[in-house]
Formats: sequence, structure tokens, C-alpha cells
Amino acid sequence: MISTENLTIAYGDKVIINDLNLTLQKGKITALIGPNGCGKSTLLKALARINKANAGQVLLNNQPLSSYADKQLAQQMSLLPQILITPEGITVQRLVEYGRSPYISHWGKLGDQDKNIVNAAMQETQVSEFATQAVESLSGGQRQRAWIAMILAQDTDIIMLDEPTTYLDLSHQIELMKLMQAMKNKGKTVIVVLHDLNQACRYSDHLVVMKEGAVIAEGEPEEVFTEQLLRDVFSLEAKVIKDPIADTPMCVAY
Amino acid sequence: MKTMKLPSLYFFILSSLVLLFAITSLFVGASDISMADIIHTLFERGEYDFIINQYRLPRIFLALGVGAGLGLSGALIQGVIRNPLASPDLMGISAGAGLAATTLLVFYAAAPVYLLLLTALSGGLIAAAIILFIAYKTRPTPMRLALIGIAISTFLSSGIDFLMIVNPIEINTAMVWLTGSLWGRNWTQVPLIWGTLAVIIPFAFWLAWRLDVMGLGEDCATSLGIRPSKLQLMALLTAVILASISVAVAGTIAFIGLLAPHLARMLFGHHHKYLIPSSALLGGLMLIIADTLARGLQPPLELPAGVLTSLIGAPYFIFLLQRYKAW
Amino acid sequence: MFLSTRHYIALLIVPILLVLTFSYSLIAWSSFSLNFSHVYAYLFHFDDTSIEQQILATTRVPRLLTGMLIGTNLAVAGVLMQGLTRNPLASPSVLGINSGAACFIALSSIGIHILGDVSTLLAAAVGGVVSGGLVILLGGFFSDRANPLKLVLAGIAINALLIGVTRAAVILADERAYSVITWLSGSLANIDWQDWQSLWPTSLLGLLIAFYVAKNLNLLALGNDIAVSLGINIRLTRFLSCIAIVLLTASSVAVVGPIGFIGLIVPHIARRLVNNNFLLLIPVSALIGSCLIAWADSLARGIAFPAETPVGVITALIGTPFFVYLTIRNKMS
Repeated sequence: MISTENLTIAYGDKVIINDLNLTLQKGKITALIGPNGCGKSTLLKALARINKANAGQVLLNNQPLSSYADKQLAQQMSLLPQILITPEGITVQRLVEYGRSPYISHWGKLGDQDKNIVNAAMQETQVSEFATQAVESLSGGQRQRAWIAMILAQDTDIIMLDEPTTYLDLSHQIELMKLMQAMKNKGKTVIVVLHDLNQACRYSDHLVVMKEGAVIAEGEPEEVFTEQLLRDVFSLEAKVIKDPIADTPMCVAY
Repeated sequence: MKTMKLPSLYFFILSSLVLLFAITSLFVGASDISMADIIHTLFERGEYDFIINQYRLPRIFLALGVGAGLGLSGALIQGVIRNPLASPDLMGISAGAGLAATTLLVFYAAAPVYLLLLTALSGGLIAAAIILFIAYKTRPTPMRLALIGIAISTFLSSGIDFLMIVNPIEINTAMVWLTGSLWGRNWTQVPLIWGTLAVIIPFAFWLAWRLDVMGLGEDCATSLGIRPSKLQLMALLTAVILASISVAVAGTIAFIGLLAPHLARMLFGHHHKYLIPSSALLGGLMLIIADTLARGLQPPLELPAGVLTSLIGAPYFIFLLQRYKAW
Repeated sequence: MFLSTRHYIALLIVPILLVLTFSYSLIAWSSFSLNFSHVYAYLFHFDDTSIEQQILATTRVPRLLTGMLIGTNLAVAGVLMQGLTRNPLASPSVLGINSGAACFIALSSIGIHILGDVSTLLAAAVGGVVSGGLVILLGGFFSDRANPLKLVLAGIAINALLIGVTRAAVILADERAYSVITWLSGSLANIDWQDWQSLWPTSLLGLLIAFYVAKNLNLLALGNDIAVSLGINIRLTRFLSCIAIVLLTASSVAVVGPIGFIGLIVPHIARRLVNNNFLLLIPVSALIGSCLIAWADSLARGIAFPAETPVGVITALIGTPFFVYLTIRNKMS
């Protein structure tokens, strides 16, 4: 379980997140939503100890993040950043193998168990057939799946994704959401920053709505996602209706 | 596809080339000695003992060691800074070490070797600290960083020139270091560079996987359990140590630190597991060729090997400029 | 033409500086103690029995005059290059012209006559043109998206190559490695009236051409399209500017060897004083350049007195931090 305690993060003079207390539930999909610049990506990076807290702290299983060793922590949680840097000429297999970094010996040698996990991750994301191809030669959707395979190979209880759907077309977005649900069904905790509000409602169990570095509302989508909230947080005039397929709330702007 | 299927074959060919040129180098020099005499001398000493065993042989070991040090240093710097134009000489590290060493020799010509080593090392570290500070403050593009590094390098080299010119009496000692040459070196320097390599190469292999992961970007590396700042510091420190000790042994030899890793990448792809040994091998190969040429072009005159490497290196640098379109 | 108060102040300060520099440099750091009275005597009632006046006449005055003219040449060449390439880092030393000229001189002086038996000046000019041309070509100056940094990096690489060739050539020819360093650094020691004689005609020609193209360069700075529509012959302007650059640089290198960074620094200082108007920029740069080199040379004489330091080492020590500053500051795309 991961939580924040009076977390404050600032870049220079600019306070991005102010005195935030938040607890995220285990084994669920939590979606962070909010307008651009509300601090949701910053929060995610702070949870993944990429951004350092100026005050307060992040707790993992009631222990501050700083008390964990780098590798130890990397065995507990993984992050897929929004902007992915694909090294020149790297193959899919190799990329997924990097996911085993927190587990392997000093010399970067993979054991049999590591190899099995890598293969399983590639199968689950259906990139096995591209294993020996260069990541750059893949299509956008395939590439994203290769990266997800790397995250799966890291085999952590907590998985964080920062706007994973940004450069994908709709069918690949849905595919990715389903992958997320599959992870949850395996008992993983998924924390995801999402842009598309309707997708967030449909696929997450828990919504965290942020504005100007503070959490405005949190809870199940059915409770939280209201017309009033859309007006307050997004300055959006919209009607909230029931999703005809999943029965979750969805908004239609006007 | 870039990743080669036959790295071991390439390694075999490379090592054979290194061996071949090392042996060739034994035969090249001012005095003409027959093959039989050389072999005889190697095993039983005799008439040519000094020339072969005390002069040419240590030079071969030094050329291989210094070249390997520079190549490896370049591979580490390029791996950390992610800048195709980065190398110990283009970033002023070599010149910093050279300036420190020259200063020491000008004021204390009889300096013991270990003191020279430490001085060169501190010079290299200071130069590296300056450029890293500027890079940290201004976040330059790769090209701009290269320019800043070259300018700092020029500055420090002018400092070397200055010292050489105003202290012409001490020039003979310092001159040997300044020009980037293996002339006048003997067995005393061999354990320095090879000892350093023996410690650092295993460490470089330890860094290899981590440097590969760093290629995914700092955020990804962090979440994979690698602290970027720590890794960068360790790798850079290693690179500075290698470059500085190479300079302490052979002076500033340009472009090997830039060229060797690039060639290695062309042959072996991007994995540091291969890049690290192959950059070292290629660096050694280049310097031994340069040094052999330096001795053999117009005996008994000696060219500084550093001049030869810059004759090859500068055109390659231009080729690199043409190739990288992305900036 | 409008001149603001700032311009008047600049135009007032610079000549005063010039006079001060001139008189100080004449007497500073000599093995014989010289003072102003010797200078006065030299100028107004010359007496060739006085050893001090002899020194002034045969070494100090030609050295100072030659140095100042070279400072002028390099500064004006720098102004022209920065104007032509619209690149704040352009200058004869950065774009390889200095070292090209030096390399060809070195080659022809050791008997490798690439061009047959020609004068030093011509060898320098050809070397400058060849290396400058190479840099511009390889630096992608003619490509659609010319990158100013790439041009400079190409210049640096060509520089390294040419300095390597020069060193190798001279060392192979004889073993005087020491004199190579001194000469490659650019030194004003051992200048006499003969050097002045061989320098001034080409310099004068180059400066005249520079003044002639100044007005056109002002319009060219507004962009090629506007310049054409204002009736400027762009090609002719560029060609003449290049001729001027080559004349100014080659004649300087032929006399004292490559002196770096004057051509880089001075135009930036001058631009601070008189903005981007080439009609003023050229004369002001010329004056500042000559002052700067006179001071640098005094420093070169004094810093390790009585040993002589090549003035090029001093200008490099001053110039490179400035270069770093420019690189960091300029937000070049």
C-alpha cells in the first residue's frame, strides 16, 4: 500500500504539490485525472521516487521511500514514463530484459528464471513475434506493448503508468486498458495518469481528481464524477450519463 | 539491424590485429635489426638488448595500455553523457591533466612518477568538474557542450603552450609529455597504466548493464532501481581517472577517445558489454599503429603520435558532424 | 546618419585609449629602461647616437605598428565574417582561415611547394581560402537549415587537422619543435620594418574593400530578400567581403603567424558600443583590435620578463573564456 504524508513538491519557487495526504488502495486501478498542469504527473513521479519531496514523505507499506534501497524499491514498484526514450538499435527482447535490472547479478547476466519471466511478459503483451526486431521499427501500438512488457518483466506489485495512451489510436488505447485490467486481476496495484475522462471512469476502480496541486475529490467513479465536478475542475459544461456498455459514468460536453 | 550476431568473431579479428601490429612495431625504428636478431634478443638478450627490450618493447605495452585507457574513457563518457561528440580530449579532461602535469614538471622537473600521476589526475578532475558545472548550469545541446568543451580544452592547451614557452630550460622534460608521444618512455610507466586498467576494466564491466539501462532515460532507470546521478558520477570518475593517467604517461593524444568508441559501436552495436572491451581494443590498436608510424615514417626523426592521431581523427570528427542530422 | 550620445562617447574614448596604448606599449617592458622622454625625443628630434632612441626606431616602433595593424586586420576580418555568416562565433581563427594560412606557409617554407615557388603571402592567401572554403562546405553553410554551431565545429576540426599537418611537416623537416610552438602560437617578437613594409599594402587594400562593402552589409543584415529588393548585388558583396577577409587574414598570418580570438572578441565589444551599423562597426573594431593586440603584446612581453611569450598564447587565454561565454549565452537555433 502506498500513501503520501504532507507531501510538498516545488520546482524552484513554484509549488506544484502542496501538503498532500493521499492513500492509494492495494489491488485496484487508481486513475489520476485533472487539467493540464494540475500536478498529477508530478505526483506520480513522486510516488515513484523520481521527484524528491521538499517536505513530507511518501510511504510504502508504512515505511518511507527513502528507507528502501534502490533495487529493493525497484522490486516493489515500476513506472512507465510518459516520454519514452528508445535507444538506437535496441531489440524488443533486450528492452524487456532491462525490466529484470533490479533482480540480476552485478554483471548483467540473466538466470533461467529471469528468461522465463521475460518470455512470459512478451507473450502476455503479444510482442513475442517481434522479439528480435528493433523497437524503433515497430508501430506505435506495438512499441507501447513492448514497453509494457518491460514493466511486466519488472514483476512489481505496484505499477504506475504516466499517460500511457497518449500516442496511441483508439483501438490500441482500449487494448492497453484491458491489459491494465488483466494486471489488476493478477493482484497488482495499478496507478495511472489518464487524459481521457471517460476511459478513466470506465476502467478504474478509484478516481483521484486533482487541481492546482491539491486533491479535489477521490472515490469510486460513480460517486465522484459529477457535472458539478467537471464544472469546478475542468471548467467544462457537460452532461454526465451512464455508459451504455459498462454502466459507468461518462460525460458528454456541450 | 545494428546488433551483430558474431561479436566473438570480431573480437578475435580485433585481437589478432592488435597482436599483429604489436609484433610489427618491434621491427620498426631507427636502427635496422633483422628478425632473427630480434627474436634472439627477446629470449637471450645480447647486442640489441637495449633497443629491443628497453626501448621498443615497453613502448608497445605503453601504446596498447594508453590507447585502451583513452578508448575506454571515451566509451564511458559517451555512455553517460549521451553525446556523440563527447570524449576526454574534446571535453578538456586531457588538457586539464596535461596542464597540471606540465606545471609540475616545469617547477619540479625531477618529480617522482607517482606525484606526476596524482597531479595529472587532479588536473583532469578539476577540468571535468568545470565542464560539468557549466553543463549542469546551462543544459546545453550536444553540439554546444562539445563547443564549450573544446574551448576549455583550447584554453588549457594555451596554458600548456605558455608554460612551455616561458620556461624553455625545463622544456625538454615537459616537451616529452606535451606533444602526446611515447618517445623516451620506459618500463617504469608500464605498471602505472596496466595497473590502472587491471582495476578499472572489471569495474567498467560492472557498469555495463547499468549504462545500457540508462539509455532508457533517467526516469526509467530510476524506476528500475538505478540511481542516475550516482551511476553518472561513478562512470565519469572512472573515465577521468583513465584519461588522466593516460595523459600522465603519454601526454595529450587527441581523438582516440572519440574515435574508438564510435568504431566500436559500428562493429558491435550499442551494448556496453561489448562496447567496453572493444573500445579498449580499438584504442590500443589505433595508438600502436600511430606510434609505429610515428617512428617509422622518417627515421631517425620521431613524430609525436598525437599529431598522427589528430590527422586521422579530425576528418572523422567532420564525418560525425555530417552524419548527425538530429540537432 | 544619426549618432547618439553613446556613439559620441564611444568615438571619444576609443582614440584616447589608442593614444594611451600607443605610448605605453612603446616603452613598457624593455631590457633598457625607456620612458616618455625618449619617445618624445624620437618623434621630434631624432638622435641616432642615443641607444634608447635606436631601440625605439628599429624594434619598438615597427613592432607596435605592425602589431596594431594586425589587430586591425583581424578585427575587421572578424566583423566581416560575422556579418556574412550571421554567426556570432565566426572569426578567422575559429573558421580555420588562420591555421590554413599557417599550414601552407609552413609547407612552402620547408620546401613542399604545392603551388610551385610562390611568395609567403600568396601561400597564406591560398591556404586561407582552401581551409575557409572547406569549413564552409563541410559545416553545411549552404544547406537549407544551416546550423551555426556545426559551422564552428567543422572549423575546429579543420583547425586540428591543419595544426597537425603543420606540426608534422615542420618536425619532419627539422627538429626545431620549440620554434614551431612559438610560431604556431603567433608572436610579435623579432618584427622589423621589413615586415611592416610587406604588411601594409595588402592590409590597406583589404581595409578599403571592407569600407566599400560596409553599406551593403548593413542592408544584407536585413535578410537576402530585402537586400535584393533594395538593389544590392548580394553575390558581389559576398565576393568582395571574402576577398577582404582573405587579404586581411593572410597578410597578418604571413607576418606573425596565427593569432587567435582577436577577430572573435573585438566585433562583440564594438557591437556593444555602436550597435550593428557596419559603417561604424568597422572603424571602431579596427581601433579596438589594434589596442587589444598592443595590450596583449605588452602583457606577452611582461608576463615572463625577460622571456618573450607569443602574443597568440595571451589572446587565446583571454579569448577562450569569452568564446565559452558566447556559446552559452547565444540562443542560436
